[in-house]
Amino acid sequence: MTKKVFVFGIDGAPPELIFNEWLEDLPNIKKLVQNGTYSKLNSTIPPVSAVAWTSIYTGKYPKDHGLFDYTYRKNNSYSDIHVISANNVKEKSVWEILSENNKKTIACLTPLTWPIKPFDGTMVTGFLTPGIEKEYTSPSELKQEIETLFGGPFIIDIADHRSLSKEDLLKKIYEMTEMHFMLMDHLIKNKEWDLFFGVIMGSDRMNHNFWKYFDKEHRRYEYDPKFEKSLKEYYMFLDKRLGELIELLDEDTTIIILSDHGIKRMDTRVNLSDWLVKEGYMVLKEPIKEKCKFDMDFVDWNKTKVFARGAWDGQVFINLKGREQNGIVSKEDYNELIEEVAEKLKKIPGDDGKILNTKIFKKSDYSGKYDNISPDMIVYFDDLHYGCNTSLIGNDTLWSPATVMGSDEVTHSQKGIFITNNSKKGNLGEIEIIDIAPTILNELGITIPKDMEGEIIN
Amino acid sequence: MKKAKEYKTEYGTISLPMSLINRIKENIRGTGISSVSGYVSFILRQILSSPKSDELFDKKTEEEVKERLKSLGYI
Repeated sequence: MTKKVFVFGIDGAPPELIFNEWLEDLPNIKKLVQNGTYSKLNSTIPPVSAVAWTSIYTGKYPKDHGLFDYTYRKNNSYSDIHVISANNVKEKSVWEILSENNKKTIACLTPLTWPIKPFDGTMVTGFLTPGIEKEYTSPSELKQEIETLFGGPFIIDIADHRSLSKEDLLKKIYEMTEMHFMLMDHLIKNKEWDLFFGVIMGSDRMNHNFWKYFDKEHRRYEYDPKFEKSLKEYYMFLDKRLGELIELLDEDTTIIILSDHGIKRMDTRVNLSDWLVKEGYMVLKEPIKEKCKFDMDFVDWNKTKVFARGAWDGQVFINLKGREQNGIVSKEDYNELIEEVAEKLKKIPGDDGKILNTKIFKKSDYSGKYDNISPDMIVYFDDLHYGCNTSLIGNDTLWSPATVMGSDEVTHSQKGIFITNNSKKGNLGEIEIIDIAPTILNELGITIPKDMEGEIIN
Repeated sequence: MKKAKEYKTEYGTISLPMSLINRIKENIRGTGISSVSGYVSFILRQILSSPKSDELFDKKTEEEVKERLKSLGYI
């Protein structure tokens, strides 16, 4: 029997709940944990889905694949901001490597796989696909096959979740997830594969929208019997459906269950743009009279040393001569300025006066091929319990829960989950996100490319 | 879980000059495609389904994705 590998991603599944509090109620995951190897998975800096999934399927950290956020600055422009797509991923995916070795892959709903690059196998693109009117399947006739299967439009992601009531959103997430599992079932049974790589995003949608009904320690905890158990029940439903997929697999199939990051409550946000102005690092052409949406056009670049972007982690950039269009900071002054700003950022207190456990990552922590575009600093305010607001300026205080798009109850945490049946080592503690790709290749007897730095977990 | 129906793709045969087949084999060496049929199918699908604009990720599409990311609170 030809060896196969089944990789199943649960976006945002948190180890604290999956391995501990909820394990007894997730019988299929529990069976894998008890009979296999499991650990936390250290995500990317920053732990955002598009960046993390790219690291998972290329076996490369952001320093080597070049994605640090959902958006990037075109030609280091201050304001010409573009959204990433698979076109921005220059490193080979595991399925491209497998294709070179005559192995086929089903890649089902993996984030950041649109537009599709040539490989040998079957693909349905996932999160960040613009819409089903685009070519979101390979082969393209699969699109018609999917429409026939479901008798109507396929839901890749929920487009308008802020406009839906919680009741309607819950229904929509389940509807979407059921479709996703049916699709996975269909592909597993009917297409050739050596690697199956499928991802469920409904979990992340549930985490973001229903956490406050579950977490009693949340500042904005809301008791509502309709939704109190929604989050846990969704994961129980995922576990049941996962068990049904596992039933379809050959006995000697290697199973890998993982998440790209975890989830944790978000208390509030630091108004980073306001702070930079207050500290004199960012100078505006005109003073702000009242709270408004921030625009980089407000900035006097001839006097500005530091600017920032971000809604979760803060991404800080030095207005560096030779790199930025109107850079004023010399290379000689760069290090001193970085240290100065880092020390001050660490001292920003919480809105209750408490000392925050703020973590700072400097370029040296993620230095590589993409130093010319990566942030000069990545900031996790209170280890990400505090998000970042750079899109609203002129706030009354240093803290507010909302960006221009509104508030959020949770943020991503640094650790996801990893479970495999390829060995029986119990709890390994923690593995790195870049260990997944070489582990998959090794299971299929493929030589690991020299530029994959991750370890084989077996 | 509801069982999905089986769906089989039908295939036809086309003829290509051997010289072209050999060129294709050279081109796909070291890429993610392992068969001439797979490569030809992929290229023809791209041509047949391409939007009028050369850019797959055009400005309008990018703006739609940007709005979705904003509504998710990611940017």
